[in-house]
Amino acid sequence: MAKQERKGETEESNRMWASASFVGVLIIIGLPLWWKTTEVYRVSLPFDKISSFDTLPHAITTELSVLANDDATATEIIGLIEHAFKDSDVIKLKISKSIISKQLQSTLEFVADEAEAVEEVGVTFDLTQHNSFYVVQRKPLFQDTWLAGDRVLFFRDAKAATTVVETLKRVVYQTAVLEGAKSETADVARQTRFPPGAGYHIVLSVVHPNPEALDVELDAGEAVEDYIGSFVDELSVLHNFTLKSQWLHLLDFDFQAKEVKDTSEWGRHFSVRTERLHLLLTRLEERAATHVSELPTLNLALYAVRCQAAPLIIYDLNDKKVSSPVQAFMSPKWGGVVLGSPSAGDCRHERAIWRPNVRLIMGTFISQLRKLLGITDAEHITGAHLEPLRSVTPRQWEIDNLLRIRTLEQLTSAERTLQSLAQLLGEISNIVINDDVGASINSAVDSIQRASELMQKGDLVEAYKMSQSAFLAAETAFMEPSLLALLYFPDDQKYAIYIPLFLPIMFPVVLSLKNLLLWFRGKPIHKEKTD
Amino acid sequence: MYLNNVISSVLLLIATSFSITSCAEIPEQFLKSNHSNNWAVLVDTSRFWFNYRHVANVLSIYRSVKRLGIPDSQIILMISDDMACNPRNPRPATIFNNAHEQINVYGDDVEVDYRGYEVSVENFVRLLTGRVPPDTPRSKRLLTDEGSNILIYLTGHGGDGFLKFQDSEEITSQELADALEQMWQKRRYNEIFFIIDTCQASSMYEKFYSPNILATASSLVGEDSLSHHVDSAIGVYIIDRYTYYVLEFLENVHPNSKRSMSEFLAVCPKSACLSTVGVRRDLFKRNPDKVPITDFFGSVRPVIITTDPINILDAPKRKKKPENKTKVPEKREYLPQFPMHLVQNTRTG
Amino acid sequence: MESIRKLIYYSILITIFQYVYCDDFKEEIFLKPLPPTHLYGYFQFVTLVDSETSSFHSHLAPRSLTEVISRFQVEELHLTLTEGQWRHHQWGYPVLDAAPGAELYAWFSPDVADVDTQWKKLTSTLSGLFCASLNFIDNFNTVTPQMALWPMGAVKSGQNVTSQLRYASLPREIVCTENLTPWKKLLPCESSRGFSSLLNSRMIHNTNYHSIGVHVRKICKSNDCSETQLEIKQTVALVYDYDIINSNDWSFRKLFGQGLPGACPLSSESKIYIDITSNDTHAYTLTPPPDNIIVSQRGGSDTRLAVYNIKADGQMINIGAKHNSKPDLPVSIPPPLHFNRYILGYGKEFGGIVTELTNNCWTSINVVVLENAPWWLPLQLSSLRVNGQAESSLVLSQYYSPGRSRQKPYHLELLIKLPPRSTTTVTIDFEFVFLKWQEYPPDANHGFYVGSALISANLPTARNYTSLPIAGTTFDSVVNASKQWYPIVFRTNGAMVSLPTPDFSMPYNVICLACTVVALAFGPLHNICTKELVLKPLGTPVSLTQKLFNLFKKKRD
Repeated sequence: MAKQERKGETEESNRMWASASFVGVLIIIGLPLWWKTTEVYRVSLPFDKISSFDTLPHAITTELSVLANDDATATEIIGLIEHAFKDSDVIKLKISKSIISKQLQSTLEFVADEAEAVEEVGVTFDLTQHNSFYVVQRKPLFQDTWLAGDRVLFFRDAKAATTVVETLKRVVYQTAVLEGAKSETADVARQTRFPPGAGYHIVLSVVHPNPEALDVELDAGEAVEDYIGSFVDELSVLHNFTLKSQWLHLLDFDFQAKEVKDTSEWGRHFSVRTERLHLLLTRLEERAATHVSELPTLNLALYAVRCQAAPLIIYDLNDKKVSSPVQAFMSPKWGGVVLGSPSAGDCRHERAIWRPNVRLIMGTFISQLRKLLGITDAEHITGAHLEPLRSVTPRQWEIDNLLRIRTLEQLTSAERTLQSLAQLLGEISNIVINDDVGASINSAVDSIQRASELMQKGDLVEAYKMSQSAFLAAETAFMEPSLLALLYFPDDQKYAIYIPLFLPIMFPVVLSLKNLLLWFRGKPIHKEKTD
Repeated sequence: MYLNNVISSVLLLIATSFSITSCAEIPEQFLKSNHSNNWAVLVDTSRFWFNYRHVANVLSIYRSVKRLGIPDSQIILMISDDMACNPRNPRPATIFNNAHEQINVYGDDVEVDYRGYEVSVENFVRLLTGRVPPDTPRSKRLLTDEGSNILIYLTGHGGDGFLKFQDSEEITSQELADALEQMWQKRRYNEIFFIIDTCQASSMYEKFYSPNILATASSLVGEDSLSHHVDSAIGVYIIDRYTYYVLEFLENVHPNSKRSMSEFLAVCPKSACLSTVGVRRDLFKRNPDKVPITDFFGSVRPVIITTDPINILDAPKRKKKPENKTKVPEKREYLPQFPMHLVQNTRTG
Repeated sequence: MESIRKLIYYSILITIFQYVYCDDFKEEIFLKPLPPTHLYGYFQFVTLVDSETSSFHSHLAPRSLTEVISRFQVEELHLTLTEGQWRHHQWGYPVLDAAPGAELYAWFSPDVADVDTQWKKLTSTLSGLFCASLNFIDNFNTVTPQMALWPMGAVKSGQNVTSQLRYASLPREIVCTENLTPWKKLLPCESSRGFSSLLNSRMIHNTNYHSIGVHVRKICKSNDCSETQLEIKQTVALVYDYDIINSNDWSFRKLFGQGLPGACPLSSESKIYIDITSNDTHAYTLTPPPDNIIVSQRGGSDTRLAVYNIKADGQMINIGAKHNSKPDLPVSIPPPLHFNRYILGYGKEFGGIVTELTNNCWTSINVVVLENAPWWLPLQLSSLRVNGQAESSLVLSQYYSPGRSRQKPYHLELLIKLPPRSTTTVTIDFEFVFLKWQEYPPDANHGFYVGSALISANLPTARNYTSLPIAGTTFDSVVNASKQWYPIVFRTNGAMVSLPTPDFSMPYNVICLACTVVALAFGPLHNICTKELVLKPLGTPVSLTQKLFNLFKKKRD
């Protein structure tokens, strides 16, 4: 009897140890193993740094030197400038004051015109450095202030102080556009210019609807290379450009133009309404084949109007004739079109030949390109004189301005991209974050911080390059093809696949836990199940 | 007192004129709705010949959208199977919306971006979120920005909460909602108009949670969308009811139309469609009554007239990059088109 | 008088164009009746671009194509999209043969170090340009032919061209208007004027065979070949059946839906050539009468061509043929070399590919046969038999590159000397491979396509041969172009195999089944290990639940 009891006890202990081992393997080893193996590889990301972007300063420090004939004028002007710019959170002026030497003063007063005065200033001071500007007093001025393409603003005397401040605020530094580069919603300037990038393609398409009746003598490639090439060479610090040209023959567009009699050499002109013009862009896009390029493309098109429909004049929305030497229009973020009409003399021959006025047409294209690339033309300020542009080269301070705008735009865009990426990766917990993405994000964060420091220091070109690398790294990280939630096993399905496997196994194991506990505590078990 | 009035009115006049001149740059369209370009993503998800009607559906919308001005470069057309040049099509290279061959919706000028096996759930989600493989050409990418209004049209076989792709996989409504949210995060759209023509279609837009989306579906949950009629020459259903009436409506819309979106949303009453058209407008800020139909179906391209060309005095000449002048003329030759040298080798060897 | 003046102006225009812009555009049509009741139409649009000018500035050449060529440093490119099969034994030889589906091959510049990466980028870009699924071309379906394909363009002397060559074909690709639309946009006149206005998609897709192609190569400008020009050739090949146009008398209006509205104003030459050699046996008259008739003697066979010079003055021309009497069906004389290819075997385990080559010539012909089998159809080289023999004296050279699963296809090239007046059979066995579940296409039960084999032949005679000589760009270069050999590359028909396909609803069944099995297996196991069976004497008190169970058990018994 005792032997049977002992045998029963050993059998029972065997059974209990077997049950315990089931529990051990499944719950203690199996569960954590399953959890570990379905873990997703995620590189750790600097979430704290990303959320601290809002506190980073976004102001660009720029140097401004005020040179006056005497101390009082200089102090007054500097006071007004500081007052005007003290609230700005996008630009910080580092103003330095100095008195013009007697020699330079007399030279400035005796030179014939302002252009020579600029040269004289350029001898003493370095006008080629980016992110610097000089406000210099010069007595014999017709207007309050005078501004041309170099980084020099001449003013007459202390009474011109307010004009100086206005010019600096709205023309030279264009604080409104700078604010717009940072804002959530796009302002007009941001809606017009192309989004930031490392490079662009510029394609000139010469549209020739009627090759058998009209000859267009134009070397498109050379014109593009010379005019637009010289223009974009000046902007090489910002982007790199590829220039292309092509001819689109037999592309006929129905302008629905109405004939209007007038007193020109033709005796008539054809009016085309502004509402009709955007359909021309659609027709151009069909054949311009810009989707083959990898970078965004600025389209420039020259439409050679046929003799029977020449000259073509655009009528604006108020039904008034657009009086301009060239009939042209542009579309934001797309490009520009020039409607070129041959003259009556050209069309009089049996075989009409039109030699377009390349200088005028290219001048129009350059003015359109300026807006598309971000150079905003400032409005006129009373008392301030702005020398009109006479060549394709943009003004030096316009390039500086463009650098500032693009730096701010790229920086804020990179920050927003990283913030939304961090939010996305935090929300969807089963996306694998591999090393490439982690590296891109880390490099973007570092670049943003470096760029902010450089902006504070005033090193504009370096800040631009750093902000561009931040922007590109953030875009690469966000657009990474592996960040597709679809590719990875979703969390809820983790349970849906494993529960049917584990539940039938866990059920008896968990139930036997109760018996196990009782046995370990030493209480006898008598659980019977009859059959 | 009188002087004060005069001064204040004069000041007001100056202020308004000043604001008008400073606003001279902004075209009118910007003020009404703040989108600057239009895109369309049109997807047909069904394979096999008996799903001819789905291809006719998506091509009807393609045709209308193109006619109203959206260029091919801003339309992404995804068609899962080829019906036009299918050997079973008795009229090759045509797809009609009507048994009486009224409109050839395939046309002569069609560009399909994703076709055949390329139309998959993964490619669709990649297209929407922008996470396409690096070699993808620009015509296959959705290059929208913060000012783009996008028209998304899906058709095929669907069910409660999913849409079937090519009879082998599905996209769930949650995945679609997540994809649209990622688009919003990256500011890839201004407003979206979402149309879906499948069975139980409204379940696909129930889960949306991103702002500025107006959605409509051809049937509610629990209802089936029905086809319109059979073409006995082809032997299959040729178009679905909802899209048939949509096409009829859009054929009467021209690029300068003043019709509103609410007219579009009411295009197919229950008597015609036999299923109830569902609309979701809580995520859409504007009132569809006041939104012109061309905001989504037409194409806005703001046009700014240039009046200030630059007066260039001297013609510039670009400095040419120095090429090495010593270009040895390399000798080229035509190679024989058949490897006779191998024949001769074996003959001698 | 008026027409002479116009002629003078046009010639001046042409010379001005050529002087100023150095781009030359020519368009041509070639029509040839084929036995028994077919008509072959071949369109050719050639643009010659001076290589010296930069690829960024173009005048007549399509800028998108020149940009792609220069960006990926491509020396020569051939792309064809074809629907239908050319019946060589009935119709003779086309000007350019094409494999059904999409076929793309290109030679890259010797400066390119990593050809495979450039190839992938090229196919992705071309897929966007032509709206075809060329992006499916990857390393696992690309081969480098060693003997079968040679560049048709001028290459630098002493250069190894074979390593820079890549060839791929997608037999499943369809061709429809969506491919024709971007193809037409590459032409300078697009489709509004010139010969391309005849290409109405509703008419040309209603044919037995249609193929559109783009061929880019560098040609020699002068005889010593010190300067080269880029030749961009766009081709369309059509084969009409007289049953489709419902009459034996064909005309442009019946074939293309409209007459020809004059030539393209930008083309320097627009000609139509009609092969009227069969006019001797089956007489028909051409209306309007041709401008001149050329007799060409090429390699022992005579061909008579009727030539029309089309002007760009906008007059509608409708060229047609009218048979004088009810014609008999012409007997088709088989060409010197024709072939057939088919799949052997039954079941889902093994099979074989057979290529039969028939040589009708009195002399032997050397051919290179290239078999390109996908990685899921492993070819077994040990089973290669030529005319039933494993080691045949007919095989002069052999190249075999075994495939690797999901990485490389199987590539076999044989240089065979076909004996005269004989049929040679090349057989090779393959076995089927199980694909992973994700790799099956959505319509897996349709079958899987095996691409066509390439047969590169050196023909001794020019009978039925219509291809252009290598140095020629326009069609008139075939006139009296007798050479010693006439090389041509043929494509056989493709084939379709049925791979073992699983039941795709299985995964869900499998999950349920697996769970049930696990539960059923584990439960008793656990019970045996942890519970003990104890006999219970009768008469012991029974609980309520036991009473309920007993009730059900009684019912069962």
